[in-house]
Amino acid sequence: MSLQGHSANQATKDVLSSGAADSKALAAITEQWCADIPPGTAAPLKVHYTERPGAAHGRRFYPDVSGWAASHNPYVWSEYIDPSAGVMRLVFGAASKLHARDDYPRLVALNAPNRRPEAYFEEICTHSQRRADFTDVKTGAPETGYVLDLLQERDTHVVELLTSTGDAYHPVTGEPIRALTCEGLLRDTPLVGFTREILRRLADAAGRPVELHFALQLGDRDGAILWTPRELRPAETPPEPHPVQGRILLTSSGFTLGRSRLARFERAVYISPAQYSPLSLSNRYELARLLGRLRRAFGDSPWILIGPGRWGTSSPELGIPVRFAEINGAGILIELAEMHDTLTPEVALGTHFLNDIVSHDILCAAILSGREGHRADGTYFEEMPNELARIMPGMESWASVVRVVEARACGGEAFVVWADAVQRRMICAIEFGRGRG
Amino acid sequence: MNEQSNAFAVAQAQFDEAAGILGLEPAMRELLRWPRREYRFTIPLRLDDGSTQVMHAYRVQYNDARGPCMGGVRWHPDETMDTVRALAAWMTWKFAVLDIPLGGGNGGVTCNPKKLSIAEKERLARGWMRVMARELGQDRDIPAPDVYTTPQVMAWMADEFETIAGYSHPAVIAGKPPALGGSQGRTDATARGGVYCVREACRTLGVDPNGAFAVQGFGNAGQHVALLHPEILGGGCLVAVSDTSGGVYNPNGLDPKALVDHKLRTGQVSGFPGSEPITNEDLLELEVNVLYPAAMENVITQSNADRIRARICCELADGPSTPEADTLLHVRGVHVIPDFLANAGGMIVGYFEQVQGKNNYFWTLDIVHRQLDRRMTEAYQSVYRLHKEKSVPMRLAAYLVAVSRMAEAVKLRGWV
Repeated sequence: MSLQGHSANQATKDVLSSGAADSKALAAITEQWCADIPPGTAAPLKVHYTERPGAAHGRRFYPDVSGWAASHNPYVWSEYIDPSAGVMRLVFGAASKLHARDDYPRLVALNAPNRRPEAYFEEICTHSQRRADFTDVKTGAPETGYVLDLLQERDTHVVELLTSTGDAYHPVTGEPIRALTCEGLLRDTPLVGFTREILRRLADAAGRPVELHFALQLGDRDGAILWTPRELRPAETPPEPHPVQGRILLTSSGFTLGRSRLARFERAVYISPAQYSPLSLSNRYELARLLGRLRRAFGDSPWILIGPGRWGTSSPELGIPVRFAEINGAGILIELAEMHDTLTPEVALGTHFLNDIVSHDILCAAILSGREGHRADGTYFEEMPNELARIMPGMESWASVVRVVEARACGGEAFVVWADAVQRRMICAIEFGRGRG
Repeated sequence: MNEQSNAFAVAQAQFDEAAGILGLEPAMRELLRWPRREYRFTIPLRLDDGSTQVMHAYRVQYNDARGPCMGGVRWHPDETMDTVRALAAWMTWKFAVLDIPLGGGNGGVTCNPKKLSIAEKERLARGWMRVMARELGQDRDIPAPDVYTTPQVMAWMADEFETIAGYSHPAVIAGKPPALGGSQGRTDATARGGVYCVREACRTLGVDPNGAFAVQGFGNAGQHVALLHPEILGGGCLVAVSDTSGGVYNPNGLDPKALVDHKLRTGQVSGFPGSEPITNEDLLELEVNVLYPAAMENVITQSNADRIRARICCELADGPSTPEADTLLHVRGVHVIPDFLANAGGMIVGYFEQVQGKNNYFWTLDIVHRQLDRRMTEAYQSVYRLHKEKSVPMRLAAYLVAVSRMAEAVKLRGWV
């Protein structure tokens, strides 16, 4: 099937307007484009349409790799990353793990596939996918297994494409530890170039950013890798102009990390930079542990977390030395790039725990004091009623540093956050009911 | 900035307390509370895209009265001269308490290694060495791995040094890969050193080595300590372990080997068969003979110190107890083996690497273990003696031992 120029554009628009279900038409569009992509050294790539991608391995049925890709990359954690080149996330097994909060898909910036947010192999192991989803062939029920167990029944070719070893060793056996990195797949096959090109063409044809789901069958060493498109849809874009009404509390421009969104929150936790600055090193660590206890007290209800300096830093003079588990319930993470009467640190934008930020779909934003488009209304959080002592009795002594502010206790409906990943802008306001604000 | 929020100010305050108790004369105090030499320099780093980024770099040789300096090189976005000074000071005290003939050093580069490609990291390592080479040497200052500087980074640095020097120089860098003269026994040295201290504490205090123990944090040190405690003490029942996912508990014992396998396979300790869940907080308060905090700073504070029921608390992590908690634990009779001493095993193996490199003769793993045991045992006993003599907490006793040894060396040299 051959599609050129106008017809490809129209076909893409038809797919997008069809409710994203017409993966057969999508396969027809992309098959033509695939011919332009240079083959990899490990295996060529072929577009292959099938209703149900995957294969049975014993009693387990699953695609070798499930992928999500977007034509605009909202995770620009390094200056080397070109957001317009796109991004993809890959998991071993069924697509349900692509957006799971409890595991780590491989995050790939399509213009810099070898850049990883981890600095050494032990960190890579910690942030690699551990569990994979599959369907039980006999019962048809979805199930989950451990990646390393599932890979034991696969041939070497697949293991080599999907996993790596490094300078981390099993403390009992001394064997190198294997982690799912997709390194061979990214290095030795045309997948990266193909995905980048196909996203560009689809976005051009659609006239807007797009997202794509796909699956891969890795075949045997001499065979082609089969690429099956699953779903094409317009990328989520926030309403324009932003509908945020009420009192604007926080704004950031050019310093956000995370997808576009319009979200509402019941509460915000504000760490006062002026009160944090005089704390001793020991008390800064203590504050980090307190935030962990607060996170448990909040349960599953997400909140906005605002504080001075770099979240997750190991140097408490430059920020709050939390571990990710202590703040993983936050929906929005705001870094105030100012330290009272001292220095202005380089912003971290969540890079101390980037994989976790992505898995938990947290939006990070930095607010640089004094810069155009940036604003933090600290006075508001300082003056509103503080719920800390009510939520955590016995912690009153921290009330001047830790401000737990609830929208309803301030006469509002909710804290509303609007974020645009393309413009990298964020606005947060307290929203009031009708007739107020 | 508040004094106590600066790492070097904290290090100086700790020194001042020890110097006050020891009654050191003013000139000695002034000499020991400041680094002897500091290097602050820039490295123009050619990036892969052809552009150049200028990196700010440091090296501090804190005090070499007892021998050449040794200490890590950190690559970290938050690196500052004061962090480097503080770490160099702590290295000095640690080597002194261990009675190792080395002084303390530390260095670093303010950079985010997560943003650097492998080629850029190599150029950065070589660039750092090109500036510092003339100030380093097996008898002057020996860099070692630290945050984000791996054995590979050490290998590049060693190669650059030898290229500049024009001859083989294996003792100039510690933490190299074994194939380039790295020492055996580095992987589990931190945990092993801590367990040797615990064994000595059990003997000294009459604590049953077969009793229960718990480990908070199950990274490299936590995993090794779970495996080594029963091996070195000849017994002991691991009843609880935790990581960021939560904890697992079984009063009848958890199989350490199976637990390590589970952690490496699943990424977490939670869900380990035959265990029940336990929170990190509850784990700390278990009635056990030995508690190993091996995770993070300030987990034992004044709010939970009165509920710690362990007989021995072996601090494998850096700074797991606040100063207030440390005092409370001392008053309540919990025997704290301070981080200062407990997690020094890796440093000792770094020293062994320098010794082996100088002789170009490399020890077997068994010799490394025996030498590490001897050093840790002697260090523990010297700290314990002072702890009893002066009725001070073990942490302060360790500082007193270290500072008095440094002061003695300075005096003998006639510097003060």
